[in-house]
Amino acid sequence: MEKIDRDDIAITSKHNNRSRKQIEYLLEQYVYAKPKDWKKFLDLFLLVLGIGFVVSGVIFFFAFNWAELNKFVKIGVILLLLIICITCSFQLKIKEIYKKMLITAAAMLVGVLFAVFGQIYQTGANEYDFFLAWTIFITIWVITTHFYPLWLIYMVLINTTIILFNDQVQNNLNSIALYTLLFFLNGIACTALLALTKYYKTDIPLWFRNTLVLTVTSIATVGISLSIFDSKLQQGLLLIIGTLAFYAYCIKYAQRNKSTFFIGTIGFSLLIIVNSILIHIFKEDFILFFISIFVIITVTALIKFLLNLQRKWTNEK
Amino acid sequence: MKNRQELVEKIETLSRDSDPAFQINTNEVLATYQHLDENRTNITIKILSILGVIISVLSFLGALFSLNLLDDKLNLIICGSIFLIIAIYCIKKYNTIIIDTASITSYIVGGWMLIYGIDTDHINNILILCLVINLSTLAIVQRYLISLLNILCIIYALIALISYNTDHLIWIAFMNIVLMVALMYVLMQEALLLSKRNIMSTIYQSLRIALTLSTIATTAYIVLSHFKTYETYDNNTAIALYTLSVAYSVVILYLVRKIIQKFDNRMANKSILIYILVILILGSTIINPGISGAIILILLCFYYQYKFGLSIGIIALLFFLWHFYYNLNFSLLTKSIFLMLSGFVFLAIYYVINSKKINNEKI
Repeated sequence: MEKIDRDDIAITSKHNNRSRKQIEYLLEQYVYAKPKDWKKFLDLFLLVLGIGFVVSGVIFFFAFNWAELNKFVKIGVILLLLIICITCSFQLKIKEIYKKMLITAAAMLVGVLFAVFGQIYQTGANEYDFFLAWTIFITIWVITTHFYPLWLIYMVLINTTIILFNDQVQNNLNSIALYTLLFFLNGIACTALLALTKYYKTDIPLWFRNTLVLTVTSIATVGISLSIFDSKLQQGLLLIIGTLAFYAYCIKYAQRNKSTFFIGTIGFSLLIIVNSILIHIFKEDFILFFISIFVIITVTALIKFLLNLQRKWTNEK
Repeated sequence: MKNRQELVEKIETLSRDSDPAFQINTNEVLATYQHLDENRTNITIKILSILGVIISVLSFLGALFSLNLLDDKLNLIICGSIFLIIAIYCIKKYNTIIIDTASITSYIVGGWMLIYGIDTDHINNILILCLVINLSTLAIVQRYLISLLNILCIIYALIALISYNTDHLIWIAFMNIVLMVALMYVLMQEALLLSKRNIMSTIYQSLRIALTLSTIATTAYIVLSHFKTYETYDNNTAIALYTLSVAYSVVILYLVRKIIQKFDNRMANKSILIYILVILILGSTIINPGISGAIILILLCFYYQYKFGLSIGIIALLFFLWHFYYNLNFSLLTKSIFLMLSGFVFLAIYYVINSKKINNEKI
């Protein structure tokens, strides 16, 4: 049987004459914290506070003395941390996830190392150089570790590098072309991930999958809205076709994997695009009235649809 | 949908050792469960509905502004009242998430239009009007979201009234103490409130959330406004700060006593040591009542296993600790040493508690 929680007691107490003492007894028995819980809680609380304070103290200590430190010490401290992280992850007999976390920390330290290096020697490099170097030098770790938070950091780094490169070095791409490029980059990564998991029948963490889909849909939505407002539909044609294909694939995936998140996100993205078209065509103030009613109706319909889907899927299980 | 058999079993478990006069309406309970099950939502649907509401409200207000419909006050009053009445009627009549969300939009827009349309220069009148609207709505409908909105509006209208009519922060500090006591009462007397089966038990959840949020937010307001103005020379906020700190310390000591009692005799010999440590920690953070406030929230919500409050408490604790160290008048070097020392103190307490445990286990 399922665990009894606070809501169960509240619901069942509503339609009967259960006395106050009885409710109190039930709450004490099923809901409130017991001495055992308190012990666990206090241990965790003290440990987290203690370690947190000590670590932030150490960080502040270095931050305070940073300017006076010798450049050998500066780079040395970071390198030492980097080496400690990597050796620990290889040598210690700890759980797999902790090893991966250590490598993720090491990947972050690589960035810090490059930043400090650039600051000491005033290399005069562009910001994009920094991100590019960071991205390239952690690539092998990312691939071999296969840890989703690290993959997310990697994706962010690649996107940042591209945006900065376009900004600082080559200004050929206008914003619609840039959105198209980013869309295809992230969209292909996302589609490949979804297809691979289906092929190998492995599970991806939901947060990673959903973050990726949310990123791709946001890029597509902003890009398409931009090309609508600038009346540059021809330039945005590639993006529109790509988006349609991606959405179709996602909806198919959602049906197979019972994900309301995909359908909700795509529905909302389409809603924004339709609204942009409306505003662009009519260019009148009264259209805002229409939009406010339109949004309420479509969102209501979408929610109703999602609720129905969810009910259907839970019944199938 | 959940298995009917499972639900019946659950109800039976819950009513196993009851009074002889105990009666339960199983069908009503099952119907409530079914209704909950049909309207069970996930985070996607919630966020979607909130986003939809925000967009439609914004575009509606944008349309009103750009079509100059807001110039005629009578229009506003009539439209606002219609919106309010439609919202309350819909919430009263239907009970689904979609209608709730749409009605709350129209409720907020309607209330805003009404207040804007009456167009009085006196802030007091506006706030009193806001109080009246929210109180009467609360009396008419009790539903999770709308009641939460009402209670928050009532609390903040009261605080705004106090702050507008007095210069002294101490009155807000008193109000904050009242809120904290109310929160404690609501959490501690859960059984009493549920057994009443009246308006209080219907709005119980909304009341709990509203009190949790407003207590910590008001404390943050007091702390922040003190540190913003404490270098100006007519600063009178220190007294409010210390009053709040002392009141919170008393509450923490009371809670610590309650927790120690839970451990029966095992902690009794260490209780003096624990009280001294608690008083030391509280004494060193007396200039920032936010820390003690957040600790109260954490202890109280863990005691009654109220998850939402617990997470708010932890976030608030992190924020106030950051604020506390940031505003200390020491150099970064001294601060870093302080940080490390306080870290070692916590680790030492951890070690003491656990070494005792290990010894006990050996015996």
